[in-house]
Amino acid sequence: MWTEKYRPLRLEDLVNQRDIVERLKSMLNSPNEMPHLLFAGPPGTGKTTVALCIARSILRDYWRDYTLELNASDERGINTVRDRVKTFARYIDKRTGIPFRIIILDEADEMTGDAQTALRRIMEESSRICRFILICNYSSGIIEPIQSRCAIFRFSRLEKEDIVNYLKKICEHEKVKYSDKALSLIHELAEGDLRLAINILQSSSALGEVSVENVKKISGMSGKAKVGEMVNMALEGRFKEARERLLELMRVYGMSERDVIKYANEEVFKLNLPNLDEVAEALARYDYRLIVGAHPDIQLTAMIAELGRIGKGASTSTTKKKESS
Amino acid sequence: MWVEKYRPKSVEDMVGNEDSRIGFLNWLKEWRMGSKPALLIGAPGTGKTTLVHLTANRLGLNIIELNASDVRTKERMERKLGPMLDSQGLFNERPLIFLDEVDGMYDRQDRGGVEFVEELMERSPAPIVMAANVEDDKKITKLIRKSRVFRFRRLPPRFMEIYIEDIIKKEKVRFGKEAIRILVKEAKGDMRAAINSAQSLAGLSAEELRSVISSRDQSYSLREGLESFFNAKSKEKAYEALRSCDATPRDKVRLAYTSIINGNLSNDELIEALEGLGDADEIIRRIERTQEWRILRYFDRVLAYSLFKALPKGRVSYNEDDMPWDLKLRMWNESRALRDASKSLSKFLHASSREIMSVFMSYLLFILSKDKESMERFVTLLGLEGSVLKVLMKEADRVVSRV
Ligand SMILES: Nc1ncnc2c1ncn2[C@@H]1O[C@H](COP(=O)(O)OP(=O)(O)OP(=O)(O)O)[C@@H](O)[C@H]1O
Ligand SMILES: Nc1ncnc2c1ncn2[C@@H]1O[C@H](COP(=O)(O)OP(=O)(O)OP(=O)(O)O)[C@@H](O)[C@H]1O
Ligand SMILES: [Mg+2]
Ligand SMILES: [Mg+2]
Repeated sequence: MWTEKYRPLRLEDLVNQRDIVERLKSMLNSPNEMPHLLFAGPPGTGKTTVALCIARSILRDYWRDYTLELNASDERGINTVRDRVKTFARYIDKRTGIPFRIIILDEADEMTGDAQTALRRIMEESSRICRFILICNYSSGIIEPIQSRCAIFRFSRLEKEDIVNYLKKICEHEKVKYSDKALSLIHELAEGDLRLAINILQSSSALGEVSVENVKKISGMSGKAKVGEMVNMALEGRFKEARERLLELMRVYGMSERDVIKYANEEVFKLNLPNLDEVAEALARYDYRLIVGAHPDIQLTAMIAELGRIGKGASTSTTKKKESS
Repeated sequence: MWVEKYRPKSVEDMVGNEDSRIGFLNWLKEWRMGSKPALLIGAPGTGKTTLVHLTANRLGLNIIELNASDVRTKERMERKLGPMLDSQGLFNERPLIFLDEVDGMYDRQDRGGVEFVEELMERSPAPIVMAANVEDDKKITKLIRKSRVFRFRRLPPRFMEIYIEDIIKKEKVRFGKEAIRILVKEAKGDMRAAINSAQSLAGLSAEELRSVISSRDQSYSLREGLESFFNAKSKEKAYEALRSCDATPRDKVRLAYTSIINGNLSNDELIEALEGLGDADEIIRRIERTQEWRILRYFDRVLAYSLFKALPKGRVSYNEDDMPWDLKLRMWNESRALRDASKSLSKFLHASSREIMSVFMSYLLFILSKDKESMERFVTLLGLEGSVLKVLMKEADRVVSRV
C-alpha cells in the first residue's frame, strides 16, 4: 500500500503542519520531560504519522517493542484497555536507556465518558513508566480532566497545493502517468484527507493511469460513498434499494449504526440539496434516538422512509416553483 | 402433575428436534477445556431443560444449575460456582454448569451476572450449557456469538399427538382423537402446554373442547394478534387486537416492523407506517430509560392508531424475516472473514479495523485484484485462513464490477 510506503518516517518529512513539527521538535530536545500529548484534527492529516515519528525518535531501535497502539473502537471496554495498558506499563527496562514506553490511543474521542474517566487514573498511575499520545478528530470529545493532562496539538486540513504536490511526487516515483486535472479532482474528493487521496491515487493507477476518467470510476468505492448512495436512493424514493444497501453495510460489512449516520451527514452536505436543513434535522433526530438506545434497524429504516418523504417534498416544491414562475 | 410424570426418561423418549438432540450429545461428549459453551435456544416446552438433564445423566455428569429463580448477581454466582472452580475434582465428580433461562437475567437485579457468565466462559474447567427462549435480546446475541448454538423448533403436531395419545392411554382417561388434535393445534408446538391442557381438559368431547378453547382464547399469541391487527376493520378493533396480544412492547414493534417491511405497500404507505414505528420504538426506549412504566398504558394506542391510519387492510401479514435471503447468506458466509481481515490489517495500516472496513478495504481489494498472486501473499502475510482468501476474492470481484 502506498499509504504505508509513503508514510514519512521523520518529522522533517511531514507535509505542512509546520507549527506542530517545530513545537514537537523543541520538546524532543529533552524527551524525558515530554508530557502526555493530545492530537486533534481531521482524518488523514498526519496525526498517527507524527505519533509514530515521535516513538521512533525517542525509542530508536526499541520503538516497536515499547510502543503500544490501541484503537478505542477495536478494544471496546475500558477493561481490556486497562488490562493491556497495565501489563504493558509494568516496568521499564533500564538497560535499554529509553526514558519511557509510549501508548498511542487512537480515536480516543470514541471512548465513553466512563472509560475516559477510568483512563485518567491510569494515565496518572503509569506516568513514570509511559507516555500517552491520544489521537482524536474533535477535542471536544475528550473530557476536560484528560485534556488538562495533555499538551494539545491541533492539526489542520492539508492545502490543495500540499496534497497535489505530494501526489505528484508519488506518481513520479512510481512512474505512473497522471494529469494535473486528475490530481485536483482527487484533492476535491478527498477533502484534505491525504490518506484517502493516496488510496484513490493508487486505485486509479491500477486502472492504467491517473486520469480524470479513472478517478471518477474509483470515487464511489468506499463504504462512505456507499452510504452517500444510500441517502440518494432514499431521497429519490427508492426505498427498497436503500434499505438493502443499509442492511448490506451493517450486516455484511459490519458498519455501526452510528457510523451510518455520521457518514450520511458528511455525504448529505456534498449533495447540494434544496432542503438541506430538513434533511440534517432528520438525521440529527435519528442519531439522537440511536444514542438513547433505540432499535437500529427500525430507526434507520424509518430514517430512510423519512428521507423519501423529504425528497418527494423537494421535487414537488421545485416543480411548483417552476410552474409559478 | 402430568408434565413432570411424563417428562421423558431418556433422550430417545423425546420427540422432535432430533438434529439438535444428537448434536448436543456429541458436543458434550467431545467437550474439552477451552471448548465453547453450548446455547440452547427455542420456544418454551420444546425440551431444552429436559435434554440437558437427560444427556448429563447419560454421561455421568453432575449438574450444577442456576436458573431464573436464583438471584444471579456476580457475587451470588461466584459463591455458588466458586468452590467448584477453585478445587476441581474435590468431589471427584465431573460437573456441568447449567445456566437455564439466561434470557431472564436482568441488568438491574442481576448486576454483573452476564459479565460473570462471559468471564466464566473463558476459564471454566467444566462444560457450560445455557438455555434461552428468545434470541433477539442484546445479551443473548452477545452469547450466541461466543457459543455453539442448538436450536429448538416448535414440535410438529404429528409427534405431539402421538405423545399425548400415549399419555392418555396410560392414564386410562377418555379423550377422542379429534379432541387431541384440537388441543395440540392450540398448543402451537409447546409440548408442556399440550400436556397441561390434556390433563386439565381430559374427558371433554371435541365439541366441548372447542367452546372451552374459544372462550379462553382472549389473549392472542403475538402472531394471531398481529394478524388480526393488520386486518382490523376499525381503529378501535386494531387497538383491541394489539392490546390483547400477549407479548412485550418490544416484540410487538419488532414484529410489526418485519411484517410491514415485507408487506405489499406503496412507498407512501410504507413511509408513514415506518415513521409511526420509529416513534413507537422510541417511546419504549424512553420508558426503559426512565423506568416510567405508566407511560406504557398509552403505547398500544399510539402504535395502533398511527399504523392503522397508514396501512390499508389486508396488504400486510405476519412475517418474521428481517432481511432478504441473499443478504442473509452473505452475512453468514462473508462478514466474519471480512471482519477478521480488517482486524489484522489494522496493525499494518495504523488505523482502526472499523475505519479500514468502511473506508479503505475496497481500495485495497481493488488494487490487489489486479493479480491473484499478490492477493494470496497478502492473505498469508496477515496470517489469515484460506477461506478468508475466497471471500476476499469474491469481494474484490464485487468492487471491480462496481467500477
Ligand atoms: N502531513 C502529512 N505528511 C505526509 N503524509 C501524510 C500527512 N498526513 C497524512 N499523510 C499520509 O496519509 C497516511 C495517513 O496519515 P495518518 O495515519 O497520519 O493520518 P491521521 O491523521 O492519523 O488520520 P486518522 O484521523 O484517519 O487516523 C500516511 O500514511 C501518509 O501517507
Ligand atoms: N421434545 C419433547 N419430547 C417430549 N416431551 C417434551 C418435549 N419437550 C418438552 N416436553 C414436555 O414438556 C415439559 C417441559 O419441557 P422442558 O422443561 O424441557 O422445556 P424447555 O424447552 O426447557 O422449556 P422452557 O423454555 O420453558 O424452559 C417436559 O416435562 C415434558 O413433559
Ligand atoms: Mg490515525
Ligand atoms: Mg427450561
